[in-house]
Amino acid sequence: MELKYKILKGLDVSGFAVFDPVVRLAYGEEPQKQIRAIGKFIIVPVIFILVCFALTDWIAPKHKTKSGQVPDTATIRKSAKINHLIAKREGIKTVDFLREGADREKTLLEVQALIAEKVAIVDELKAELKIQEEAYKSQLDAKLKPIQSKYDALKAKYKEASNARKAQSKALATQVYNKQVEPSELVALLKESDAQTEAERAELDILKNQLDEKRSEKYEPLELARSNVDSEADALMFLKTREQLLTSRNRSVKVAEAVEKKQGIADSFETATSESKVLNAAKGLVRQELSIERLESQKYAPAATIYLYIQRSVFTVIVGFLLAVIIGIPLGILCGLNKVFMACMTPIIAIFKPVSPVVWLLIFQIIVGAFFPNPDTHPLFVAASNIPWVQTLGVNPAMVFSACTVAMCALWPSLVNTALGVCSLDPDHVNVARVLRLNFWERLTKIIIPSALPLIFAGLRISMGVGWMVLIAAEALSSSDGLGKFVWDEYQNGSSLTFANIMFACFVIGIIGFILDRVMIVLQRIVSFDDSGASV
Amino acid sequence: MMMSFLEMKNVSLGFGPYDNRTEVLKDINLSVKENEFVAIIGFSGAGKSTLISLLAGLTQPDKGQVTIGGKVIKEPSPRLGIMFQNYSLLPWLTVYENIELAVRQALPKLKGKELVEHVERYVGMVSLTPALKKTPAELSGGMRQRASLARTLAMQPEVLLLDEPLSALDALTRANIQDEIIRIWENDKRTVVMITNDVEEALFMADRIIPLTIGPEATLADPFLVEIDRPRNRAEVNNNDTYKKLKLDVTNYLIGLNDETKKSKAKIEIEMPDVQPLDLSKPLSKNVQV
Repeated sequence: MELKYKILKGLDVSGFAVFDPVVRLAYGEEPQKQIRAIGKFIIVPVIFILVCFALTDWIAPKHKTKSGQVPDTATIRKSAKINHLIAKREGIKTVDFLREGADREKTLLEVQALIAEKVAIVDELKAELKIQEEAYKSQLDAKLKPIQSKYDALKAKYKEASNARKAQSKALATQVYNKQVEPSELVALLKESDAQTEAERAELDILKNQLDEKRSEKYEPLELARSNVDSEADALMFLKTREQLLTSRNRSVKVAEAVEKKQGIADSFETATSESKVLNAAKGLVRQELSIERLESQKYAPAATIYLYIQRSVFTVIVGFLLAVIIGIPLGILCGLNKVFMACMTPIIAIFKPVSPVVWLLIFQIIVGAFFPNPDTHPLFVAASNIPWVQTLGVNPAMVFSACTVAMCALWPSLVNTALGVCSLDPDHVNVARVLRLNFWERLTKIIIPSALPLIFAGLRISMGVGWMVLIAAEALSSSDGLGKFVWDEYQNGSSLTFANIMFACFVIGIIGFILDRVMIVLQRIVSFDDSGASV
Repeated sequence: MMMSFLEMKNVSLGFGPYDNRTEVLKDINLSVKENEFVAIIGFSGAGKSTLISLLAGLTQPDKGQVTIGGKVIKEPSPRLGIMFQNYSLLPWLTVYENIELAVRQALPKLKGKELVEHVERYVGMVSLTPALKKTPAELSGGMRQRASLARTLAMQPEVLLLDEPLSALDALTRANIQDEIIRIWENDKRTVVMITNDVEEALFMADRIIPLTIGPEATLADPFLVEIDRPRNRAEVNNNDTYKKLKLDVTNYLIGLNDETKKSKAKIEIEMPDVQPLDLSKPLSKNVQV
């Protein structure tokens, strides 16, 4: 029973009170009441979401845009799968690059076997594709033929008519020249002829459009065959890259080659015929040693994947958020404690708070560019690149100024809420502080900050939300590897999956934002002493 | 007779700018003997809380002096323990932590185990031991007031200042805590000044009842001595003649105060000019003709 209430408390604190009846039902508490609650607040919403998905699937295919068809849920799922597959392959490549000795040889054999298999499959699929192409062509021809013949006949007919009109106008021109007819008659004839030509062309265009439409109609079996070939060819490509990474591009192989080369140079000392050759050999040896050293510490540089983007975005938003907290809360406390300081800060807050994140981004781009001219030698970047997890994310100036932009925009809610929390200190608690004769520091730590904590955390939660929204925009503009850049790149590159990838990113961003918000809610609930529930 | 311990001499206090000043308290003279239990009784808004703030050193008088043992009170001191009307417990701390914070400040010499024992002793004194680890939000009003009492007592002040400590509680809890306060006071005598608006409460608990006249310019009236033997029994005291007589006297005095104020207020009647509104429905020219 103890556990039950612990679970219920946990759900309540984390803002998942909607699952309360599920837990109660599991413990057999008033089953009817719980089932009714589950029906109302879990099943109905789930059905609603499913209806939304169904609506999307129904409406989306009816709408085509420049970047392809509006994606339905299946396409978005496919996009998610492909992004996951890419990430998985990069992970395998990273491991392959570092394989050594027997392990490497064993894997190589496996990969080669897989390649052989794949080649067979691809060939088979290519043959199938060819058949489908033929089938497509024949059915297309069958569809086009009647229209085409109609078009050809009509075209020939109109050409004849056009030629007749040309001859007629020529004849009339001769008559006008001979002053047998008024020139206005010729003009009228020409006008009429032009109008005729225009009408005939329009008629032909209709047929032409019909033809184009038929040609652009998708032939499902062919599409399927093509995408099968594409995905298998892609897999084959990946296997071939693996093979390379296990052989010529493998680290241990490269090191072994370099060592051999070094041995060769070392041997050349004995056969050297002159002083200069000895010197050259020594220089070569030094260079070779350096290169071996470099090779040994080399790592495979994987392509940026969705998981890297997520990690970088989350890291950047946390750094920016912490910067905002470090600056915002002390300033807020000062504002709340001292009316003069508050009066000084008010204009600054009022003017800088509404400034767009884009402006801050550009400002920080300039500032960061000026102060961290060389990321390879700047102490901040060097320090960051030595922290284990951060190292894999790759800290660069783009990340720094994205984080600064987040901090600048997330600063205000924390600052204002902290100031408000400190300001609205209960006069009774002030009296307690006076009666207990607390000194300034004790007042601050024992009375002022604890009593302001719920409002401070409410501010932090808003800050985190603002920060996450600002970050995505900042990454899109600054090209800092992250979810924002992922969306931007998809928009720029344009593939058949562009739209679906953007929608996929939309869900990823939303879900991570939701998780961040929930973490903040839990923190807020833990520090709040008046049992007020946080809004969802 | 013992010499007076806590004293107010000609104390006046007002609020507001000098051209629109309200004198809340005027010429207050109070003298409390050591270990005496004094109840100050008055209507709400009379300035009772201001009076206790002056005694506690939270407010400084405009005129006059407040002294304890001959020393002028200039700021809150550990010699004066005040218990506020609305508990004033810190809601983010448990009962134990609330009291511990006060004890650390008032008795800095207590450390470690001694400190814990001291806090627990006072929590036990107000029968709150089961709620030691609870926060004020988890307690009932009566329990909160007990905690507040324990906090004040744990600081071991020479004077206890109780600012309407029981007015926010229901009648049963109230009687309960009254008994509790009396019991503690009888075991561990000290000077108590209690503010209240309840005549029975004052009669049951105090040695002396001093009415506070109705503000503005409130002042202390002549005291009523409560000469009922202690320990007083709640059931018996109702049949005690002295008790009955005093109850009548104090109540009548307070009602009289109220009537007096009403009368004094009724006198202030502004004479209105006898003006009739202009009748605009008639044409103005007629008026000229008249």
